[in-house]
Amino acid sequence: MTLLAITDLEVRYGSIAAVRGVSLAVGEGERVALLGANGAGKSTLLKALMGLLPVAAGMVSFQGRSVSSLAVERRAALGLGYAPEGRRVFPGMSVLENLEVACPVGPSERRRRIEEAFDLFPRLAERADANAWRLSGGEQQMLAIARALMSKPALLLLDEPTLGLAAGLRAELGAKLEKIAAAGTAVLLAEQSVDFALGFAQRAHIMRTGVIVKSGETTALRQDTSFTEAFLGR
Amino acid sequence: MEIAQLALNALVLGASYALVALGFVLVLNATAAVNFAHGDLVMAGGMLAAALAAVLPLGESLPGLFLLPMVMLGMAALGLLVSLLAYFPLRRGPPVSVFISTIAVAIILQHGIKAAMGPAERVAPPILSGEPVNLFGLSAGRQGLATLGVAALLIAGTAFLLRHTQFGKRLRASAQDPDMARAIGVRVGVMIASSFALGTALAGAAGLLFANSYFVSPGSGGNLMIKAYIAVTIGGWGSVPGALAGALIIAAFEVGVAAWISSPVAEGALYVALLLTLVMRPQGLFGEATGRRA
Amino acid sequence: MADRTSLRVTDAWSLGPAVWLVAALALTFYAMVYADAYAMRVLTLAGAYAILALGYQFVFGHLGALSLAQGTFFGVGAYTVALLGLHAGTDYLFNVAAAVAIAVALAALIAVPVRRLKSHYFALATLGIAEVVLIGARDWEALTGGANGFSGVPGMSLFGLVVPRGWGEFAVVWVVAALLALLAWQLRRGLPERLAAIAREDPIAAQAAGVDTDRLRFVALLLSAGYGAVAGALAVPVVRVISPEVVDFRVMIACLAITVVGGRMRIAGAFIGALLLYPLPEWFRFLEGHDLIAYGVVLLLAVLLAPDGIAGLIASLMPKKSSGAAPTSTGELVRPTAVPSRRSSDGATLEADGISKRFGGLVALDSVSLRIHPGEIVGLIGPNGAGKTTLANIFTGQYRADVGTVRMGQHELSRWPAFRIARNGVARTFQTPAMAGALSALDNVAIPRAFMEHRFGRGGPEQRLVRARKAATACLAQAGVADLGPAPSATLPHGLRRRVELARALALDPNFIVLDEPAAGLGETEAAALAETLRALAESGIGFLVIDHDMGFLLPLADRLACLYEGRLIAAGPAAQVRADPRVIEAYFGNALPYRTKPTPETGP
Repeated sequence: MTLLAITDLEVRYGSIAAVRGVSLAVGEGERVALLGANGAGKSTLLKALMGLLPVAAGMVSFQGRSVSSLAVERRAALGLGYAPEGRRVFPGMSVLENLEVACPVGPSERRRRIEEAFDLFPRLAERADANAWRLSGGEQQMLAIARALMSKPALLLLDEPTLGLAAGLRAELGAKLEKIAAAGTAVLLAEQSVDFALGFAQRAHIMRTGVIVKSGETTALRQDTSFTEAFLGR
Repeated sequence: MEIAQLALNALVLGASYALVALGFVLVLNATAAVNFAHGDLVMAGGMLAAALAAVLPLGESLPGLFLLPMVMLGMAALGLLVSLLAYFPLRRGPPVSVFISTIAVAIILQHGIKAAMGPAERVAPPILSGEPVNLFGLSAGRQGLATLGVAALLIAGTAFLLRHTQFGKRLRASAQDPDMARAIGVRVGVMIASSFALGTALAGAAGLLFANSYFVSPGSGGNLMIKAYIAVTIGGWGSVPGALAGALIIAAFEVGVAAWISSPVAEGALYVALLLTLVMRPQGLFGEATGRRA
Repeated sequence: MADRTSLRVTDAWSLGPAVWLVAALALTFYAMVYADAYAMRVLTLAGAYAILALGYQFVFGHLGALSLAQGTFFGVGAYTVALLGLHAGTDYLFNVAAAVAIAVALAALIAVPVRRLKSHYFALATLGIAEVVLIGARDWEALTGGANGFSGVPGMSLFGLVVPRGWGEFAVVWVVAALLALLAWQLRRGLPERLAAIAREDPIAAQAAGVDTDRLRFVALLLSAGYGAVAGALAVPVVRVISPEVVDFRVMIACLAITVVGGRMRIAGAFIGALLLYPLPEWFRFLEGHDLIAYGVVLLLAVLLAPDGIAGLIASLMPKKSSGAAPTSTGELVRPTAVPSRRSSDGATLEADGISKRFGGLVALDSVSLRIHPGEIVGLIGPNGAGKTTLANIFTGQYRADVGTVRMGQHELSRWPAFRIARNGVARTFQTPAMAGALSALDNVAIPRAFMEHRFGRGGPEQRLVRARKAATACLAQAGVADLGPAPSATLPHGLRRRVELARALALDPNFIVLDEPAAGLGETEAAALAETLRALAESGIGFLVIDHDMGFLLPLADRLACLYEGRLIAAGPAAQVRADPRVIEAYFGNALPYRTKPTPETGP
């Protein structure tokens, strides 16, 4: 069943059309990647899906209903989770508080979900009481993802999670994402690191200057020799 | 013992100032806007307390403590009204507009209350009445101790609310990163309105305490607002502990310099100290709180 | 964030001289025929408040800086005139001059330490000054007479002749008001007004274009002080009493309300506001002394509904002057004109040496060294978050490095403020073109240049503006832009605004230009055309540092590439070489692809 359907989306940043004519879909439990260099429009697209940017044209529907005019917090409540570029954890709040505040359920269920999060990310358990601004880049990334999962979203929007992470941490992150996807959460991943994205996703779209230039199953894309061109141009 | 007595006086005064500064910084963090009407809201709380005492049966003989919940509730409602009139409509505009609109609200409050209740000073019934208590050889007025106690309780209560309740956490999240707060399902608009309500309720409580210990008149608001502004600047823009520390410093200054030289000099010296802070260490004691995102 | 309410920079004289004349006649007629002594006095004082508001417009209206000391300057002026008149018996005109001098000196005194403060601190600092003066007035009894002040302040006299009460004072105040309005118009129009617009709309961009916004604010504060002092000096002989009331915050509130309600950008606004609001307490007499509530309500309504004030509302209702032809360009660009050789380059290179920068716990740059030669185009690439914009900001002064230096020739730029760097050889553009939307493209380029020429050029602002516009036309041509006409730059398409920004950088006569993502948002043809322009400019001797992600744009253009990754420089050298460098490929792609490099004409086998 299609979870997310985007049709002919256009998003503008002032006078710049950062995303143009983008159409794609994500099904339940699917793993889809958005690839491209900076400025390609991946982050803009995810922000617009979440409602943080206004949509100039096109339609977004989630779980069968149009969400184009819904406020951000309503979309979150419907089952969209978001871990933004740059993590953006709440700096003055502890790891535990960051997770708690994202949990829209009663205290006992909340405790359960936090336990689950700590199971998934043992490092966070170790640092549960530390203020989020003190965490390292990798820890903040894990916190951002764990926080996004607190509401048990049907679809997780992940924006450049490997940014600034060393190779070892990336591998660890990849493994965690596997577990998350295996549990049934659909993932739409925007990534610059082709390595990471192709390793995780089933399907991928390559974006360049705001449009999708190539799409396909990741196994096929790996063999495609014009890949670098699509990505970086000549 | 002189110094100890002064210290106690400064502590009592500082406690009231701390309440004022706390309410101020809550709204500041939630909105990144200076609420120029804050001092007049404190004054309104004091006047409300005095009015309630006059109007309620047995009002005059009730301890001021009974009036506290009513004043805080009433002021919370007023705070909400102020946010709807002066903040929300101007949210997307230049920040100076909110400054002006809150100045307008301050004017309306000050003169509206003057119209309703007359320009004279009022007093609200003391929280605790009776002979001064002897505390380790220091004379401590019951009212002063009660003020200290009530302020400490309210501040502790607010701290508890912010740190240990879901609601408080949502307030903080909304202040630290409104967009991300929305992305996790928090209704940031409601949180901002709540910050106004809470901040104003605290202002009202401070007003009641002032009206007990000193007098309060429609003109007392402006001065308090400036002190809150100074406390927040000295303590570090946006830092809650900073605001509290700043308030205590101001009280220490006022009591100390006033006792040593004179009251007017104390006031003047405070502003000079403020200007020096701005020039030499504008980020205040605790530094500007970890930045907000737009 | 740009101040959307005052996007229009219109001629301050927009109501036309005829309207002014009619208004002046109407006022005089009313005053002479209908007004009784009391009403005359109110009107006279309204004139003084109009002057006060006029002064306030310099700092609050044009620069958008919330000064809370305007009432204080009024009071200082009043006190000076009163005390001198009472105790020293000096001539009135002398007293007025003294009042202005003292107020301006006070403004200079307070402006210097608060010069570089951000806006919320600036407001508080001016508030602090106001409070100190108020306390002084109240408590320094020996000087000021304390809370009661003095009565019997002598009236106005001009060159020894006593000015008659009533109509005499009315005439003096309003004539002075008219003259000061003319002066304000003269001071503001043309270059200064446009400078203020640039400083107000985007202070960072203004500074990057060499405009010292802090100095503008300083000058505006001095002007506002002078006007405020004149207002107080005119008011006190009418009232004949001096007391701390003149430095009370009430005066500041009245000034603020008048300026906001009347309209803070237009001279007419000061007069409309003063005539409407100063007598307001009279109209609301029935509220029995609680008339100030009306002030508050009116102020609130004004800021909610009419942020540009009544004058702004009127101006928006009037038929617009035809703004001439629409921009001649339809996206077509002109071949850049040949660029004459620029500054006598002593061959100085722009060099960053060992730059490190942290933001809290995050290491943005780690020991980065990069050199740009005159006439060279260096491309800066790297994944997001690698530190490219941080490095650019350090070159042009928006950030200061924690460790390391930036030099150009023998000059060390590391500690210079951004505007100084811009004026002395390193200009830049931004990711999103930042310019004053209400001004034409030509003016956006010309104004910073006119400001820069301040020290060298002769002649008044008029001539400087004319010269600067000539230079700007040439720079626009060099940037490959045809005549765009007088239309506001906000209406131009994105690609053209990029070019205008480039022209603005050129107008500063730079040795080096830093471009932050110049190709963003441009289509392929536009990007190629831009590359051509940059190539031509480089050939004329300007060195470029270009940050971009679009390899199709950057690769053919750059002589050298430098690649940043996680704050460190991982590769630098000829463009083709860096593009094929395995470390660079890994930074972008990781190990995903079964092949590393695709053989291309550039990389070879």
